[in-house]
Amino acid sequence: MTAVNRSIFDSVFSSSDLLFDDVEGYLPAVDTVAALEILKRWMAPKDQLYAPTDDVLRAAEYLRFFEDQLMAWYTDEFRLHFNKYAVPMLYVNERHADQQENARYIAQISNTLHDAHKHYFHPLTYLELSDDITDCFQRSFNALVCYSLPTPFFYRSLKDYFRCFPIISDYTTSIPICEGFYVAGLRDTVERALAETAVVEMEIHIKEQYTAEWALSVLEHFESWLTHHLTASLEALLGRKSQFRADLLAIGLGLLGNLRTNELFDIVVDYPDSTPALDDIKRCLRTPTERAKVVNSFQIACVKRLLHPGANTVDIVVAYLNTIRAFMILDPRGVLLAKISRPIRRYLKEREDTVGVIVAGMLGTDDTDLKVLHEELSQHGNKYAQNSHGEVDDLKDLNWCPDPIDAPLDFKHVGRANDMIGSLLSLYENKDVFVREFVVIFANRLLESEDYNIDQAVIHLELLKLRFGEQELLNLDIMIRDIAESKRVNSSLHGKSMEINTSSSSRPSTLWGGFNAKILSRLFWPNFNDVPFLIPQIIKDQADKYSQGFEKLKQGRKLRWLNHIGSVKVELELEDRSLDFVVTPEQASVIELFQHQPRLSLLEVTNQLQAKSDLALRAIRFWVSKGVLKDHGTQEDVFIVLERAEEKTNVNGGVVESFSSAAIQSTEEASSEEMRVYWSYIVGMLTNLGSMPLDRIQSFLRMLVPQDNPYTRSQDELQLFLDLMVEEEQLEVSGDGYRLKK
Amino acid sequence: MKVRIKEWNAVSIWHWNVSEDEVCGICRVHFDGTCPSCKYPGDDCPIIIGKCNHSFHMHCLLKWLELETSRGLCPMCRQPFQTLGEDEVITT
Ligand SMILES: [Zn+2]
Ligand SMILES: [Zn+2]
Ligand SMILES: [Zn+2]
Repeated sequence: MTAVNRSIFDSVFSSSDLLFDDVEGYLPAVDTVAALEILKRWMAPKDQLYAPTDDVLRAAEYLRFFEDQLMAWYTDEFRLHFNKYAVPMLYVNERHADQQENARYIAQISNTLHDAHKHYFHPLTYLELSDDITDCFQRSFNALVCYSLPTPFFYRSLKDYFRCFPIISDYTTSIPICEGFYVAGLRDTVERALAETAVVEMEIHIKEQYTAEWALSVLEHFESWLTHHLTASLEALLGRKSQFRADLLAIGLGLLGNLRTNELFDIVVDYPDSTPALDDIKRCLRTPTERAKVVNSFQIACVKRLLHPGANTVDIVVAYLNTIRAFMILDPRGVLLAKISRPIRRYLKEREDTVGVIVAGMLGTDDTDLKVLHEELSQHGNKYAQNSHGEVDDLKDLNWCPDPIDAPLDFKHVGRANDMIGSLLSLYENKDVFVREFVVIFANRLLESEDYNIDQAVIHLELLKLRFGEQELLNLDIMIRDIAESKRVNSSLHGKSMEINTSSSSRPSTLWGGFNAKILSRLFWPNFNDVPFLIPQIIKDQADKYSQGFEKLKQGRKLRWLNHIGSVKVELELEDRSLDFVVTPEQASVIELFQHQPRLSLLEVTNQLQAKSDLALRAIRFWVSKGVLKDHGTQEDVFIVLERAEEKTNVNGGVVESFSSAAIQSTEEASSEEMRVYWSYIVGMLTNLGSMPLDRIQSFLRMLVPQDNPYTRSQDELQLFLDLMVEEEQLEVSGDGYRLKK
Repeated sequence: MKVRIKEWNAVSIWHWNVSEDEVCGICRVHFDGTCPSCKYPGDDCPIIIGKCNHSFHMHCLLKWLELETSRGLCPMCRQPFQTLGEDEVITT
């Protein structure tokens, strides 16, 4: 008798190889009792497997006489044997923390059950048992295995095992182990563990491979991975085709949808680069619950990251536009968009500078992300021309789809993904707010324009008319016309083109060439506050002459001068230097006083200027900051002309020609210090509005600072102050604006 | 110190030579604005002052005088309308 020991379970089942019993007894007679005994002797579980002898085979021929009896005995025998030898192999004292040990444990169970099955079924293969009896034995075996396994413990260990030998990468290792379980009737348990493991592996794959990958559609990649890797490995482990793929795909799309839902805010911000991700989400979103989750999580992200005072208005508007276009991809019916856009719209409307930001974007004046609005206005302006209400002609919109029944009323405007301006205009009930903003912006620009240049304004107006209608923008038309007409009148009064009063003896002495005026039609411009003060007499004489000329040119009409508006170029000649400046009329008027008296008190300046003292003081401070005037030092509120630049302002010790940068810096700081009184206004507006460009801060200060003590600083002065605040880390530069440093 | 003003760019507003608050007796719009049929104020839409010292946008008055019922009278004081400084009666 030879046995080849191969199994690691020598003590139980020494070998799977067949052995031949060489002590073969003689069976003299047909004796059922003897046949039963011969079979029992052969079938009784032993260490080894033995091939049947001729006696056994002959005895088997009598099987039908004692089949039930034999199998009842065999079932008891195998149970006893299994309990004695196999069951101890199925237990360990505690769950294996160590993965290797756990793997060994799982392999041990698999091998034990595999061998047990082989041994106990081996004799049956030589017997012609009835199907019922075979099935019954099979059931007994399976039941015993089930009963004997520490099931929950085994199940957890099995899952730990698959975590260590993933389906996707290590399935070949696991195939024989799974097969061991299958023959032992544990297929259901193993399949369940495999399915759960597959889901976990899918989740890891999705998270690791697809997070923040928005520029490409990942769905195709995922499906291919699912088919060729996960399902293929899984089926190899199962040993058969399975219906798992469909279930896994459904779960996987849900997981991917979850990932993208959590990323949605950033995906929207990343639009249009993230368009493929949006297409993916659309395919993943199938149930109302999933849609509700998208709405919910996006809204939470919006409130947290966008709709707060620290956010820049430009960024909010851009995010709003992206949201519109992104959600039109997700849900072309626009129902999701309507739900999501409402809070953003409400918030944008509450922000005071929203209109300004949109208008600046449309005019392309600020270099922000909203320049796209200017491009849209320039490119597509004509599309809206035929429809005075600014609505899109549906017939021309290739992406047209009918409005859903449950869409809210404002949907039609919000939902035009290719009409950004329309989406923004729809924030407000009418376009008046925009027109008012245009008036302010055009007024500032036209008044600042040198040489009566209106070209840019005309181009902008023509574009805006296509979108807002001619009638609505009549004011702008008139304002531009005023400047053009001012140019004609100015030339005419300077005798450049038209002769005036050539015959009249009352011809005014020639107008000074440096005096130019813009003449406005008052009802069509923004209101200008009166800021009374006297301009230098020589200038007033020029203005009077100008008025006379105008009255002759335009019968029945008169001029009223707005002394505080405009700009003045002055050159100051001092003993050691000459300086050039472009200043406000009040600054020019103040310094002109010092030409006649190099030493003046604040009261004297105020009286001579017939202005409020703070206006005078601010102008004086400006000149002090420029190193032209100086505090007297001993006498309070007395100022003197600095004929020779002082040490600190005159770095080279020589003549300071024009602006010496060193001189400017040290003196500018002095001016900026004076600006600190406006700091609270600036903090207030930046807190509410986020980031603002210089010119808007300037105009807001003009508006906000109470008129009994009006703000009259120049934009340059403001800029110096704001830059100082940046240096002091109170502010930071964002785009071309300033915002509070967080 | 010598202050040399090299350039003075001033801003002014124009108004008709009547009180700034006064409105046209016919259309009730400021004289410095336009009559209902004009787009641009000023040269394009002049005003006219009557001898009776009532003023109107010229276009408003012309339209009024076109009406049979006006009988050439000032709509405010019902005197025959005559422009100030000229003797001729405005007729249609
Ligand atoms: Zn009128
Ligand atoms: Zn008119
Ligand atoms: Zn009258």
